[in-house]
Amino acid sequence: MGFHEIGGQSEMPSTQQVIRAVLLGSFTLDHLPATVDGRISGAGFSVEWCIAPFNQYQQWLLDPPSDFRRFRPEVVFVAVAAEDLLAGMPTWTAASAEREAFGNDRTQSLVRALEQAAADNPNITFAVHNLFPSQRSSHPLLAQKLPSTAVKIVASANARLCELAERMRNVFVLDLAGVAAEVGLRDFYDPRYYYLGSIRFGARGLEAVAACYSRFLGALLGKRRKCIVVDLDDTLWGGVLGDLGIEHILVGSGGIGHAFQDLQRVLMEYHDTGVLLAICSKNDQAIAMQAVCEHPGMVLRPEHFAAVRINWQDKAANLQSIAQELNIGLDSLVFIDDSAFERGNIRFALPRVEVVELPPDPAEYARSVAGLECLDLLALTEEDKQRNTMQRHENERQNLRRRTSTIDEYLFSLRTEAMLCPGSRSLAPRLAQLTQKTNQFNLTTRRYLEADVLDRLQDRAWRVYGFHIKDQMGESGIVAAAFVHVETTRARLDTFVVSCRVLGRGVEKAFLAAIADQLRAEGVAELLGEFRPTERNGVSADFLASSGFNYDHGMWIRSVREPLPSPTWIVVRVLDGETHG
Amino acid sequence: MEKPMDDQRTIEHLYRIVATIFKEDVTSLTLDSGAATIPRWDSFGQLRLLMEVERVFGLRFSMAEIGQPRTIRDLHSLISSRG
Repeated sequence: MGFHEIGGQSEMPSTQQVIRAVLLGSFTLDHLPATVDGRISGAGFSVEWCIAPFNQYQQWLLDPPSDFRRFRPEVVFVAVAAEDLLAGMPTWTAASAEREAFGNDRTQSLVRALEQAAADNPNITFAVHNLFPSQRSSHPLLAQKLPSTAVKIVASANARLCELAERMRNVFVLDLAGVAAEVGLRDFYDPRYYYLGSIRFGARGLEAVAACYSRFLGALLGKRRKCIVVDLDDTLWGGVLGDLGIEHILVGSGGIGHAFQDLQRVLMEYHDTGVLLAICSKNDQAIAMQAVCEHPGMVLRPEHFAAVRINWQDKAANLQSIAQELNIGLDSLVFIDDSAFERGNIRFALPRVEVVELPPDPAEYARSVAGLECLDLLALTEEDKQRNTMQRHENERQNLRRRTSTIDEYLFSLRTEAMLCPGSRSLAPRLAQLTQKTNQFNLTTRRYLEADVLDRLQDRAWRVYGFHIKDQMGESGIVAAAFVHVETTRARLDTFVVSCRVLGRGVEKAFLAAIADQLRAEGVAELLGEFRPTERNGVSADFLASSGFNYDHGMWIRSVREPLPSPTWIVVRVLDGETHG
Repeated sequence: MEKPMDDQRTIEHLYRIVATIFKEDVTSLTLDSGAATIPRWDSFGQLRLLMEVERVFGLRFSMAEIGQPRTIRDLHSLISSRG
């Protein structure tokens, strides 16, 4: 079997992000790409695959062939089966020390190869399957009792893979053991296809592994949705509040109410990693909010919700207005409602909203909402952890705006302080996230992975900047990113994105002016700009013209010999060194 | 899941499965199309095909049966033998 590629860029629409992935494995994986492709179709990206001949993963990791280099993979999946890694293991007659040495040696060879490959290729993200025995042990009791049995070697190998993932930024572990357990080993591993063709995933196993890959790729590309909209009656609590009254709705630590509390705990975990929560319910607002506020069994309280729509209007209209209020797209919403009618209504009226197929029995709620693919993450940034607090500050800002009579009075009363942060390793995940998630104020819509950002940090021709904002309401964190390519006295604005959370406050002008100051200091005289229109970035279409760029021969151009105008209500500083946490 | 209700439906399903897996034009297929006429129907293709046939029809074949069918007609008789 030789080197081959499946799929190709030519078939893909040009706006789609294409990711190049290599599959390395100890068994036949040729049927996996088509199944993954099937799952990610419509997700806004596609994969160009390259499958290495099976069982050559060591060589490919340690001394990649030129084909591999030419392919320039962004992701490498490493699928090694426990049985293949431990083939030839000394049996029960051997001394335990001998088995231990064997296990160590094999584990070491995998972990070391991965570590070296990850260190040699900082631009490639490695995703390695963890190990699990796919066949029953001949002696399940002894396997747990004696030292250095296959079961124990597998457990320690998994611990070492996880330890490697903690240590190496570009190594991730895919929990295939967990996936197999969820499917059930009998369905996951099909001995017939293994004996006939070294295929270790049966039809159901294949679906589950493809789901795991698609989750990983979506998270790698930052395709996370931003807000969960939940219903109240029979979703956050059991029963209809209007009929039962606050004392009789079901939510608490015992019985059926426990199921609703568990769903709320799952939602709280999403909240704590930066997913916004919103309520959309047909109810009497005063009574419903009283229940959220006062019912002793509630886990989620009013402060956990970024937007609330409790009324008798159509839910599609409410969802649109929530998206508008939070300044996010409909494709950032996830909708959770026990009513099949409401779910169907949203699916039909707003197809870009992700609708969770909530099962009829509340016992299954927590399970079906936990681990949603569209909400998963590969890294947790400070901005993620603080997002809900920041959103509350934003609501306070909007209140302040209503209390102040002129826009100028409002902008000055915010006392905005900005900090230009030169790119750094610690900022890279957030800067990559901004290029991936910002659709509206985005001049060129070039999407970068963390590895791309790190690349540019090392390249002397590139300047990378983040822009940190705080005001009297609190910190907004790094809300803007720019990538500039410098060619002696000319610089080109390759990427310039500003989070929609701070639009309307002149932040983008202050950011550009601060960047221009930096460029001038190093001898740049002219800044070139570019605008690449998409369906979503209309809000930034006039930015270059309104910032004094002139359109000339297909390029926007502006002198930076003099300082650019910057809003007087924003105080801008420049961060020295790599001090941003 | 589709039960092999009648011959014509079974055959239509088979044409669709074969066309999808081997990237063939569905209209070009006949009952005699098979490993000899379809380039991608190699030994690995055989396994993928049988896996998909099992899934769509809700059947489970033995290892020996998985290797046997070499044409769409063979597949159809294998499925019918389970009818």
